[in-house]
Amino acid sequence: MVGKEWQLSLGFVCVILGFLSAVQFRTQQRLSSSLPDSRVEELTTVLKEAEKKRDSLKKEVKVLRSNLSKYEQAASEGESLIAVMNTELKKMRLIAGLTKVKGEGLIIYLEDSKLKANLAEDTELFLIHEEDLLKVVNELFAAGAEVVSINGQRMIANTEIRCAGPTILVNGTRIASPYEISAIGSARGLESSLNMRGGIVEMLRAVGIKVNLVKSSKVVIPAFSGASHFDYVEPVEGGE
Amino acid sequence: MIWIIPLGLIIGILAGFLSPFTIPLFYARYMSVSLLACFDSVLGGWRANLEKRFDNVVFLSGFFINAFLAALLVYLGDKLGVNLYLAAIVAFGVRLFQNLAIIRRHLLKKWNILRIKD
Repeated sequence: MVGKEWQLSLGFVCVILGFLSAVQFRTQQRLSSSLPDSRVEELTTVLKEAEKKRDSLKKEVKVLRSNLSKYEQAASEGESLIAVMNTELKKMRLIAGLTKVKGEGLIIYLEDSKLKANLAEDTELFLIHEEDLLKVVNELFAAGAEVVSINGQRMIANTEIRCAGPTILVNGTRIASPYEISAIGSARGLESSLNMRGGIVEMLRAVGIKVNLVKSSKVVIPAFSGASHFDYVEPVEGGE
Repeated sequence: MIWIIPLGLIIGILAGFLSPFTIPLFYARYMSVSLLACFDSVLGGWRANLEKRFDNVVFLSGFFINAFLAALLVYLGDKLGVNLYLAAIVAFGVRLFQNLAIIRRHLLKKWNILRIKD
């Protein structure tokens, strides 16, 4: 028979047990307080902040642009050389997409299909993808469109049309269905090239996507609203 | 001297709550199984004492080695893709309840005798 020694060792072990239990308890509490919900919330605030920052930067771009036009105005009041340069500059701005423009053209409205997919079919098939927009824009340019925009986003030289989850990214801005593609050019020419047999409109309508073409004598397309960065590119001396 | 056992428990719990130490989340699962093994060992020790066959070496080695083996088992289960975690929980859980039942019976017997003596 053992003496009091069992009480000592049991007491010692109980210290460890109590300590571990308490630590585990606290760990578990921390665990339940760091559920994914809080992560989502955190990310939401980060996103909101980023968007706020983007908006303020956009405002800054606007201010800088108006400053620039003021300088241009001041310059145009000067000599004829400057006047010549000014018309050149205007032309360049038009090419770069920095001016709001209007003219005869075509407006294309696209909306996701209302058809229900069968079990065997993929629901993805009935949505408008970035590829569809790319094809339409490509077709428009091929048919001689001079200026094109998607949901107010002006197509410029380095505009991207990219899938971003359930939305599409154009000029770094997220857009979603319904889409409104505006093009300035010969309204009849643009319309007939889209309506070509086996063409893009027929293809989209086949999967139930609503396509609506509206000819207009006064299509208005806004200027490119983003900021262009040229960090890597440099003009080559003497190159034309 | 018997008060040393609850006293130890209270000291341990206080120390655990007051210390800034927490287990990394990754190891929390291992810890929980080890804890169960510890609980089982303590109850086993109490029971052995009631049955008058308590052995200090068996008890202390059982306490530490069981806790370690339980964690090791869970680790192995994770590596093999088998939920040995559940096996450990069930095995220790069953033993825990068995020990509790036996302790209860021993205590009842003890108090019955006392009452008869009264």
